[in-house]
Amino acid sequence: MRKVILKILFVYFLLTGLISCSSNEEFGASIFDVTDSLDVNSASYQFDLWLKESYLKPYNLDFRYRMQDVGSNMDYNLVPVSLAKAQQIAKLVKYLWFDVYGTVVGSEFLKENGPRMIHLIGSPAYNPTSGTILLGTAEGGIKVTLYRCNDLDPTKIDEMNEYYFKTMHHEFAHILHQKRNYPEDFNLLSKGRYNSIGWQYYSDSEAASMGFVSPYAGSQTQEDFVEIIANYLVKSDTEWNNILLMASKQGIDNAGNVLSDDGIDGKAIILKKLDMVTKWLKNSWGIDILKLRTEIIKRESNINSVIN
Amino acid sequence: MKKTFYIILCLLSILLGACTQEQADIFDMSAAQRLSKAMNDGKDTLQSAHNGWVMEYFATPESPGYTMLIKFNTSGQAIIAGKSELTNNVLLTDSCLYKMIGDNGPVLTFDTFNKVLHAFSNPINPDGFGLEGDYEFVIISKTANEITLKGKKRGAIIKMTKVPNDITWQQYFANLDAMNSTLFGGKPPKLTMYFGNLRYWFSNGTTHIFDIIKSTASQSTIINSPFIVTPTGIRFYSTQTIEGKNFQTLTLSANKSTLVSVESPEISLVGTEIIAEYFIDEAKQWIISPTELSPKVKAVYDKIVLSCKTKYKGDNMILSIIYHSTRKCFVFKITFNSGKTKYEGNADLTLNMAAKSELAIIYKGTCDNNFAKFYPETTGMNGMKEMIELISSNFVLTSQTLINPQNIKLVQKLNADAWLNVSCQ
Repeated sequence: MRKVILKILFVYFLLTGLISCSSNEEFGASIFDVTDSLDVNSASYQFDLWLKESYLKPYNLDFRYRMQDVGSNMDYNLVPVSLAKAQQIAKLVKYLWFDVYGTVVGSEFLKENGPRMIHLIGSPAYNPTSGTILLGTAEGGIKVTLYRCNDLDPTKIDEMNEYYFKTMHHEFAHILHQKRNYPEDFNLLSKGRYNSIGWQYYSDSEAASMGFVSPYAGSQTQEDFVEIIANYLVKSDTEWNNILLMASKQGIDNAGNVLSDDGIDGKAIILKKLDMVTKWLKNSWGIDILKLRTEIIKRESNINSVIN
Repeated sequence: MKKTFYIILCLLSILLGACTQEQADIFDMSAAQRLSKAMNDGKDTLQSAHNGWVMEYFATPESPGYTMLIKFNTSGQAIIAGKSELTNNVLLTDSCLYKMIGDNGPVLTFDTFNKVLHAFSNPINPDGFGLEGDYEFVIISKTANEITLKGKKRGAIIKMTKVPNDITWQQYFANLDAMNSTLFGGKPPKLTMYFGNLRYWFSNGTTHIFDIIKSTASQSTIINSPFIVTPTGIRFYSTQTIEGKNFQTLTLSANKSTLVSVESPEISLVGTEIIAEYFIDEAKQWIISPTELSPKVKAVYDKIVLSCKTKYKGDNMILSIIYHSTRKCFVFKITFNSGKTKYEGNADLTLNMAAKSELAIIYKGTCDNNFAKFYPETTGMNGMKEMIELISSNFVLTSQTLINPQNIKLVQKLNADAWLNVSCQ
């Protein structure tokens, strides 16, 4: 009986083999256009070539400036970035982010740890119910999205720092801590004072007096952690010292009212957070944040020559 | 033995199944190949319009229509022009990139920002929403000369037709402006559509969304229906059905009195039928046009201008007929500037409709203090008394654009040499 079954199975496999091996099922060339070459006749050829040479080849990074709604957050109404603004931002991102790390940390660092995709969006992502806007996101250490790119004004360095470069370093810091955890003790420094749904109502002064470098830092611990890095990297000495000065005083709310003393030494907390961030970057990543900051501030004075 | 039987039965069923004839393919290409071909065909059609395409754009099915002209270059660049309140009513042209992508069928996407097109999608005012228009469109049908698109998010149907080769884009928009001004310039009357004894009023046309009101006792049946102005008239976003009649595209008649349905030529939208009644409207100000007067009236008008200048150092003089809310009657009004002071004088009038196109204007003999100074021939303005005598008469009213009579010619009934044109403000 066992032999009969084996013979039958043999015939079965032979027959099914014949059925499935008809000649019209042979694999040929792909029916899709899989060539990766750029079209020299394209209106964006020069820029696409520059992106390929500056991002794709060295960093295996897809710098995506052409809007794909499926690649963006479909919950928001968004518009694409203009080609002109995309070109400016692409150059600035390279100059103030990739080249900075290349100079200070080493050329391999961002190849290993940088995102694989940067996606530019022209408009902010508005949250009408909370009255807030999204400036950037980092997803799974892979993708960084920068919003509001159509409003880039290269003549306004403070505004660029606030809306783009700070966002850029903020999102990259997320990528770094998603790969290597930061010390849990950090979470204890402002425990009980985070406000995930009402942070936008804090003034800068109020946030600083509580030990946060920005109102958004007061939303949750991870945002607090990366806001320390981002703000320290892009703020000038004057701006950073102003945050510390506000942090050492009683807070003033958005209506101009001086708030009662909460007994918190905001300045000490911010400096403690900066110390923890500095050590974590050094020990976990071999990054000297002070050197990074010095390099960024030096380069910021030279932006015009990069984008023109 | 029983097991062997079942196995043989199983084998037979496989053999029988395997030996059936293969079904002929319904399509001669795979789905992916067909999509790829549709995208390439779509791109070829887009690029085939040498003078570009007219895009009749609706941000959503509830929004008014806007015209954009688009040229698709073979380099993947689109040149888009538009003129609307979103461009501060100046003709704006901007370029961006476009491409065909495979997504719910062949989809045309404008994937870098264009100041003209993306103004409808920019999520500002109100923040987070804006006008909520699409910039990605599924191609749902196409011929060599017409493409029908469907907005990917909002689903609005958008038509594109080729721009004629013998017209510049500037001229195309100038023609649209002229049509819009003819139909909806100034303070247009509500339009009427008749179905026997039934009437439907189409009002609020300046917004390009008609309020369609059925003339019942309650007048409560209101439908909001968006439309777009075309070079020949208007086109509703969707087919309208009223009293069993379908219509969508309406063309302005040669005498500019009605918009006639292309689909059902027996129905039309009628403008002002009783021009005298339209004139006697307390919301309107009728400015006397100094360049469109009969020689007789012009001579009197010029006397007043000269007198105003010499006696009062007056500039920018305007004569008009307007309802005066304080004096609670229509007035013949003069305004002018002297230095930094603006002067105004009002003479009281009675306006009566003598017939549908006939108006009786009567000077009541009363006026305000300023006009009392201007009126006497010797001490006042030379020509003012003559003008009041000319105005106080019976007039026959006509308009070149009865659909929206913003310019009306008044001819004295008993003296065809005395006529004047007025425009509505």
